[in-house]
Amino acid sequence: MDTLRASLAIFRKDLLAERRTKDVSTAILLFGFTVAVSFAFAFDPTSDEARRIAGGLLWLSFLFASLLGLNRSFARETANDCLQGLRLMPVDLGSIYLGKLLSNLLFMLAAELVLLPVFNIFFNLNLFERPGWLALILLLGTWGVASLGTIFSAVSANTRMRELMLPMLLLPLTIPVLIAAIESTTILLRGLPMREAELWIKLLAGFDVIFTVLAWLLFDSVVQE
Amino acid sequence: MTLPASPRQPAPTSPRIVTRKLSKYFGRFTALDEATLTIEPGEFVVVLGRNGAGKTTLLRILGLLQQPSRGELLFDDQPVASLPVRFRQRIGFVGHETFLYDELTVQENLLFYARLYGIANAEQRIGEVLAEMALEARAGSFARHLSRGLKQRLALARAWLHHPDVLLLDEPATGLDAPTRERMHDWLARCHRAGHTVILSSHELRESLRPATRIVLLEQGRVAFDGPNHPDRQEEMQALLVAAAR
Amino acid sequence: MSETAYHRLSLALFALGVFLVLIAWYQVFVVVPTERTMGVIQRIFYIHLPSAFVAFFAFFVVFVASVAYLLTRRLRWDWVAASAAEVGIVSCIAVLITGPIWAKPVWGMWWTWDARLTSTLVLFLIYMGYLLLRHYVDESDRRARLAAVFGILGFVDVPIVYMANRWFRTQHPQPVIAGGEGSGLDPQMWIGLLWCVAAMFTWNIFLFVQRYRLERTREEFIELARRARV
Repeated sequence: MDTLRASLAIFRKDLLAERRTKDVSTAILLFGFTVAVSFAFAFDPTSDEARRIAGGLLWLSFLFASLLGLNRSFARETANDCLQGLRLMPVDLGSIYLGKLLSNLLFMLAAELVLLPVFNIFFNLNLFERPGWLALILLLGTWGVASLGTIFSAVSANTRMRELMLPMLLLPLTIPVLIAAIESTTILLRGLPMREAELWIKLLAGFDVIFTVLAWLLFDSVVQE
Repeated sequence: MTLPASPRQPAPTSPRIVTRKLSKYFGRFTALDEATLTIEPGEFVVVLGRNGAGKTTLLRILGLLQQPSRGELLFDDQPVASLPVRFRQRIGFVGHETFLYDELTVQENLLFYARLYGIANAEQRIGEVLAEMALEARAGSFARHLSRGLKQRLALARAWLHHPDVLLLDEPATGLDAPTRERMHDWLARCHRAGHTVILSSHELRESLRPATRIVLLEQGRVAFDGPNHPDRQEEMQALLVAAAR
Repeated sequence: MSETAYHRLSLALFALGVFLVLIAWYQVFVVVPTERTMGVIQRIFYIHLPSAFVAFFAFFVVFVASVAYLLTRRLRWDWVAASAAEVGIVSCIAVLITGPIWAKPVWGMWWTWDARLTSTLVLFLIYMGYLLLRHYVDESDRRARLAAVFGILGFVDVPIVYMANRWFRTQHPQPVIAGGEGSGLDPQMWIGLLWCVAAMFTWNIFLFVQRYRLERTREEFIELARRARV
């Protein structure tokens, strides 16, 4: 119960700070948008080809943009050594992870919701034909990136090369998320029956649960000195 | 900073703090070298020493922020490792950094920490603490807009929110002007009189001697001097400490 | 274990390693029959497969040592993890180099994005990240903590990466592999392979022990330097 209360306090604090500075969501949004535009020069964005590879472009830009957002998000805890302040609190340190995970997930999803229509228009897609499935894929895929991204942003904050470390740690481990999210999004975009995406969606859900629990258990060891 | 602990607060039940051959190594550097101390409930200890003498490391270990490489830390004869997380309720810590969120206001910062401490009447308690630190007028200011002196008062307010038995302060006087420093020492002296254990570090001999009951001098991580303070015989104390440091 | 004991162990492993490598070479170049369809190039399989075994086993050791470190907080577990990761990554590179050399004449291309190959590549990336992480943290306790966390998360990820890749590739066209190594090995080939596995493991255990000794000596040096206050 304490853990939940503390996680919510951290989540609310992040929400308030984000409402003031909009650091994290702006970073994700602007970078994601720029990447989306840049992709348009890599191939003919109006062709049928677009429909087949748009899923990949979508998730790659989300993933790269999230790297910036995750770094920004944890920078909040390292400024003024706030993390030390949190470690003084009479709460389980895992609640810091859960709180940050929740806020990172929310900021990433918010930015992605703005980016989706942009992709839809630029690449002439039909993303919103099955909104329920889209929401599910988006949630599970983003959660997967956030689950490891949140703990690795804390790990990389402890190293000498924090900007380099986060992508080096996060990208290889999130390859299953990337594959599953891209495959299921492509199935969605091509108008194929969603039955075909069942395996991928299960994989995403499994990944999310496994790594959220593991990261929560291991977070103590990341911040405890 | 006005009143000390508000009268409604229960009297503190400070623990007896014992360190046994506490050492902390960072690679080949010895930050703390077999420091053995017993701090009785309600003492006001000043930990003196040059920069790098081990003051911060000692305080961080006492504040449960850092684990020692060797040695033992006991609170009321219980090894710290066996203490529940709730034990942190009894410790207040002011560090080099303020632990404040720049983009939140004074009130919001305190409210956040009050929630984590699980304080029941958070709003009311924050009001009390703000009054104690003479910060009421700044409740709505953003933390990043505060001067160094005000930030330090807010850091103090944060450490005092949960009315801890033990106050640990790592060079709290740094960057404060003389009158502010004076007021802070008065406030700490009153906390001490109310029964709280106060442990404060400083690298300036003269400044922090006055309210302390006991002085511990660290020299290259070792306890070079440990004895009662005699504020009225400052010259003697100084000579004693200089001799110990050699 | 004392330094003398490590020294003796190293000598024994070295002698055994040389002995086994010589037998393995004799097996690979003289005894085993040439594969019918792939020809001489198939013999690279006797380096390729044992290297893969060593790499996977080494990464498993990283995982076990990481768990052990977090439970016990004894630095020696961190040395085990670091040493195993380095030995593993060298073997992993050997797999990634010998794979394409084998593939080019057999499949007609250097690289195919098949599940095993891709997973090995991702494995390589994960453990490069692990070594990079170690490189960019100076303090030994902190390095051990962070590396252990990553060592655990990374290893748990490996089967998921493999599964994802396998499902991914089954949905996409693949080059037809002419008689994969599963299609029945000659008993001679089996014996040759076993010698190679034994040689490769012994040799890598030797390297592992040297790496561990280095880490041990380094820590001893730091301890002495600290006591001497230099």
